[in-house]
Amino acid sequence: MTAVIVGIVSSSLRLVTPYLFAAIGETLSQASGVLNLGLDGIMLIGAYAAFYVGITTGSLALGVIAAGLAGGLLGFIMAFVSVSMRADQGVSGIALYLFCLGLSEMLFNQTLGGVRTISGLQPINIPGLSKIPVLGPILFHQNILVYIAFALVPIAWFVLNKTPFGLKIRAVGENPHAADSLGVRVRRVRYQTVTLGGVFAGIAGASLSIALLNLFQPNLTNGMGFIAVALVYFGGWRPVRVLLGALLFSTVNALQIWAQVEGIGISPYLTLMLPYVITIVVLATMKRRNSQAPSALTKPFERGQ
Amino acid sequence: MKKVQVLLAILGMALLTVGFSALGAPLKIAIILPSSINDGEWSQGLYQDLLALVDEYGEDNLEVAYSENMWNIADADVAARDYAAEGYALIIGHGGQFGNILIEAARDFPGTSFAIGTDGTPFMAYGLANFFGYDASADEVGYVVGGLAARLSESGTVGLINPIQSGDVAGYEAGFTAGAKAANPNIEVLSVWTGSYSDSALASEAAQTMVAAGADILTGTSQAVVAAMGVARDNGALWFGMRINQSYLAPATVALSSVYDWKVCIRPMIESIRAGVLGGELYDLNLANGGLYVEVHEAALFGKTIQGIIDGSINSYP
Amino acid sequence: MTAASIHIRSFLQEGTRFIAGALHFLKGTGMKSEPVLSTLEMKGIVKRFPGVLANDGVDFDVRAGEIHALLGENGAGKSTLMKVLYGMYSPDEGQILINGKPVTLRSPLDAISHGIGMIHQHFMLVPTLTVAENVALGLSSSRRIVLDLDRVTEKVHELSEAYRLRVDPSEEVWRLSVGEQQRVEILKALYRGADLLILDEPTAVLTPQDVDELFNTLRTMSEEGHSLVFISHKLPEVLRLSARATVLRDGRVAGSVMTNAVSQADLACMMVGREVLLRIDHPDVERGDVRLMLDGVHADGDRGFPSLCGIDLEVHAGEILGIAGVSGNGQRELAEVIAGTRSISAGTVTLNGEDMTQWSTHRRLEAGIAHIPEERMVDGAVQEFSVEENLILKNHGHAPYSRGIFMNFKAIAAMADRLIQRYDIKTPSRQTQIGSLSGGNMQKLILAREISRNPDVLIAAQPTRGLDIGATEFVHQQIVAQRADGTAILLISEDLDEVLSLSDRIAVMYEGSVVGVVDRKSATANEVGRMMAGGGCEAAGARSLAPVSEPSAG
Repeated sequence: MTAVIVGIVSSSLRLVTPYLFAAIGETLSQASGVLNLGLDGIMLIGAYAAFYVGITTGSLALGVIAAGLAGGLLGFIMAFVSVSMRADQGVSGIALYLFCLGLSEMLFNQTLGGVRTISGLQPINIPGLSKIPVLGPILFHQNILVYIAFALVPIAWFVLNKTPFGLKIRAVGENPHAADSLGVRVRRVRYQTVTLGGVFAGIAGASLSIALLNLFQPNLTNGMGFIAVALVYFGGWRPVRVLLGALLFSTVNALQIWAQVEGIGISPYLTLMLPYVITIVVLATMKRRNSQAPSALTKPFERGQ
Repeated sequence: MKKVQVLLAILGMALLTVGFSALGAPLKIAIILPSSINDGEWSQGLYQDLLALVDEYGEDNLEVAYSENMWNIADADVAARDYAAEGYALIIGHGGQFGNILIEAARDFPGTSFAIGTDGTPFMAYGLANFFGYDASADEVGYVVGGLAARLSESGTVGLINPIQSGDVAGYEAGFTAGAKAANPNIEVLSVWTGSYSDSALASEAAQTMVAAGADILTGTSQAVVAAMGVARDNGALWFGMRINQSYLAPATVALSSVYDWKVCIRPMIESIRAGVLGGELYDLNLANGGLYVEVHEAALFGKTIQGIIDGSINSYP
Repeated sequence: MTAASIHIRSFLQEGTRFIAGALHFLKGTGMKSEPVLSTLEMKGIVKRFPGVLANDGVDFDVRAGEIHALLGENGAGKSTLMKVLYGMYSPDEGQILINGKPVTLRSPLDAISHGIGMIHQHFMLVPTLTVAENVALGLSSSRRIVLDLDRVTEKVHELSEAYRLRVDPSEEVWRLSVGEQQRVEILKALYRGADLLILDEPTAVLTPQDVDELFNTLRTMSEEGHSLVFISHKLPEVLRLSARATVLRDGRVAGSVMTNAVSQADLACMMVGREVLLRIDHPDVERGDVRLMLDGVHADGDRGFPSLCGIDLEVHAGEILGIAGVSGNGQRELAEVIAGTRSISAGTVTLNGEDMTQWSTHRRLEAGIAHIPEERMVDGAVQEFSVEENLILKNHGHAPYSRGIFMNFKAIAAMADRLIQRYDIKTPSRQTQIGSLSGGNMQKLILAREISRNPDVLIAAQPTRGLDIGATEFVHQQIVAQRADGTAILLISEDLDEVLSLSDRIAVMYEGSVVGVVDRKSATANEVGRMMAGGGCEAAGARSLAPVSEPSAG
């Protein structure tokens, strides 16, 4: 039984990492009022950048940095289109996604020429902690990106709730005109959060291509970015709840794989639906207390009368 | 993304100067692929075999174009109709998901041949004169390699990672399981359906879970399994390749490949069109016609033993 | 300039601003209000908007410790002038001098750093943040990248004490009453060291008690040396609070006067540009037959609870029956059952002796009932329609405006032009969408449409709510004129002064019933006020605990 739980938990921790990076970044940009639906595309480009730089330079660290930079650049483009040009956020996000999807296919063909594999980030043992029976190997024998992803949750919480920057983010997402009247640079805050969200989405891609799957192929993310956007809503724009949502989703996913491997006599199509069914059930039954969307979400800011 | 690349230059000018000595204009074939031409699996296999056919027939007689990464069926529909309008003689939708749109296109372009596979069987029921189908009896080759896996496995557990339960995928899974059980009734065959041809993360996690459950030989279908192959490599398990020779992806891990020779079904389509019959036939790849065969990769299968004998860690004559 | 370069530049600016902010804080100006702004002058301010000259060479000045009222009709340019002062608009011409030195105010941030604060009519608060967070927003923290909300809370407490601004710093703003939210706005400005505070119509949303409290605070502030600019169009308040008043009219200064030397009528005259009748001329009109009668009318409110419980009323020709009452005691439902937009569960409604209880809205309209609805934006007019379309809304089926299925656009245009002129509706053209008209002009349009149909009964619900003096006067004149023409008028208003000055008789509603009818000649505000609270003196205390039967759904 212990082995089963260990297996499911470590499987869910691996699966949760890309979701966590992407969803925490998206939480920041949505908290400031920008819905970035291009997340999946940014993850794809991040996955490609990490893989390509990793395989050509031999340095996975450089790969992660490249993924962050590429993601940040794409986030900046999204910010330019949705904040400066005040384009419809839904449409421009989808446009960004399609652009990235095509770009990653082209880059794959031009520079990789086929599916190749890479020796990815290796698990790091946290001295002492990884020796704890049962829990140690699960929690403290992971690659560096898993640790960073989990560290991001309290950091994002702290930034949002305990720093002047976080206060600006929340104010800009809730009532940008009030923030503007107090000298908060609404557009600049949105540029910062969306760019940062892009950096995290890029690293989310890296966690797929050079830590989890160790390969790159077109459409590698397979819609994970869209799930991440849903997780932000699920988590009510609060980092800790986003984490819980992501864990629930990935645990149920790990659970359904385990159920299939163990040959439990349920149709695989029922178990495959499980993560989505559970998500919907939780969403429907969750108390909606204080989990209102930021009032200015998807609304471009224009200084008015 | 719709990306159309015409591979071979148009030979019209040359043909005109030579006169109509040749058969005429080359027969043009277009293939619509769900993933990329270098996915290491499904699409790569068909594409490579068509290139081989071009070599076989000669560039003067056969011309091939492709549209890859047609995740979106609506894009595929546009591509198919474009090809038909441009005078392509045969348009192949490589995957049952394109079946319905090609049936409609076949009705609108009765002078053009269309083909669907795998699984082509259900679409033959429409009875269209310009529609071919192709299938692969993957259960046959699955039975063969399943039996080998059961004999080879030291742990007594092997794993199958499958996308969606249909066509040759379902056949391979059933044949593999039956073959393994026949060879060793105590063998445990783990089987996971990921519900997607492209969900690499889920395929990889399925492989992780199987390895954790003791599987030492893994196999599976779809372009997403390359990630699972990586898991096998990292955990010292063997991989049985599918559809193409996958050895190049992980030479020390891929012990054998169940290869599909798509030429076996495309070649008769070309001949049929040349003879003026635009469709109506269902072709099958199987062991009997050589459309399916097993390629063994010694490096992975015997590599460790050979290396052990060479470096003396194994005593071959005790 | 490209977005990228803006972005980089703004990062650099952030750095310099951080240092400036830190210095500002070290000097302590962020907290202790040692006024540094002693005089402020705006000279020859011109601000144009497309098609409008909002400010046309305005001179304005404020001295330290002064409460200065800025008066004017809607659209006179008061808010524009103050937004120029607060850096929200940059003026096309003119200059601003602080302590005699010219300054350029490019943004609210500039204004704040010069000691200018502004409290907008619509509060600039983030509802999901706490009071302390709202105060701290946009300021650099004393702990650099970590918020110092505990210190902010402490200082907010000190300021609350000093200026008697009672509010809990840890409460989320959305939980606060309107009066408390306004205090948060004042605290924000004080916290930022505002020496000059601009208040845009601060009493518009307050209860009388809140107004008293606000005025006490403002007086304390002015004693401490703060300058206050008080935008208003309520004349009694202006005289009560401010020392000096500047009146704007059509974007220009109509005059700047000491308030102890002028009367309300003088100020009103300056605002409107002509004599204004603050007292309504109420000639004796002979009361005619009963036009409208309600007998034991019961009806349910929007949520299915009884909201009218046995109403008996009569309105005679040539009479204004005023309905007084605190909002939500059944007034809206009363108007609706007469107009026919709400069905009644018991009782009868009679028009000229005919039972019209079962009549459709259309039939009532044809029979001579006119209705000026409470929600003029929603129920009174179609925002997307033009002025002329709205004017014809209730008459489009009649000659000469239509024949068969065809509209007679010539006749409609002629009628529209006539009404626009007669009712002084200020609109660029009769084709203009009425959504772009001011509230006063929209109300004039509705009034024009209803009155021009020569009704037997006119229901006027909150006819002057939100209108400025000029428009209010006009609406009052028209209603009184209808009375002289022999129309039976039901005037529903929450403005007790309005009811008392216009009505012949006053019926007071409380919890769905008429608790008393008094004659205007004998009625006093006190007496009516007591009845509005649910009866005698004893009941007045209990009333505040009793739930209001049906809050208006609008």
